[in-house]
Amino acid sequence: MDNKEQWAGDVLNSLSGIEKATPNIDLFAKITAQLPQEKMVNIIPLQRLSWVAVAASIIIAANIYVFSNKIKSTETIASVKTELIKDYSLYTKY
Amino acid sequence: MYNTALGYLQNVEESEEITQDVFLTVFNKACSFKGNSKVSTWIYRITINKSLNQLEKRNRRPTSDRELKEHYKIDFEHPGVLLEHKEKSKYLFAVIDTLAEKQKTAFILSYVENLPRQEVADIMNTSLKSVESLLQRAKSNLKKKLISIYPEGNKKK
Repeated sequence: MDNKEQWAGDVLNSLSGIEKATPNIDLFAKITAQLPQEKMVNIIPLQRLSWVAVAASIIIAANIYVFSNKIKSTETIASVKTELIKDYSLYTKY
Repeated sequence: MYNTALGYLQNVEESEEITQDVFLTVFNKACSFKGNSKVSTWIYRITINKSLNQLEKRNRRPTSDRELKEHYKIDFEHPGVLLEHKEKSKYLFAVIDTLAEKQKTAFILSYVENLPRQEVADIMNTSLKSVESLLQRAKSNLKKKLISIYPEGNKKK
């Protein structure tokens, strides 16, 4: 093996025991300064929220109205039914 | 990531810029990370791509050995190299840049970054066998280049 080859072999092995290079201490500060303060958050405007609240309350009110009407109507149907049954049993007696 | 960038670029300022750039990319694209690989593998890939792009921007890859001798200042000193190897490693870093991209990546990740071969294969999205063959070719090419730039007069440095 001539000098050149020996030298090239030594150069190739010159990375043995290499340690990781570390950057300047202020690099981390530079990076954090570049990062946006907080990630973009989708903010719903208050006006739109109030519309949503109004719509929700209308839907709830309509549901309550329909539900209470249904109860009333079932009550009247029930009373009519009992009257009819009474009448019917009146006639069947005789 | 700074160490990897430094292996490619051999320039402190540029490596710091790449490190910043990688940090910002990771911060902004973290939600798009699919988890198909390790986070470190993903970050290594970003660093390598950015470093290679930066090298391409420089467009200063020498084509011949003569150009290599003229063009390269054999002066890059990697801060992590042991003191007794500092002089010789300058020659090695000078010729690393002449390698083809894949050979360069395999060599830097294996010998500058000291990663296990399997991790190198994962980062390069290739097999262990092909990493080993890339390393063999890289070493043989480096040796040829080194012999061509052997400093006459310095019998043994």
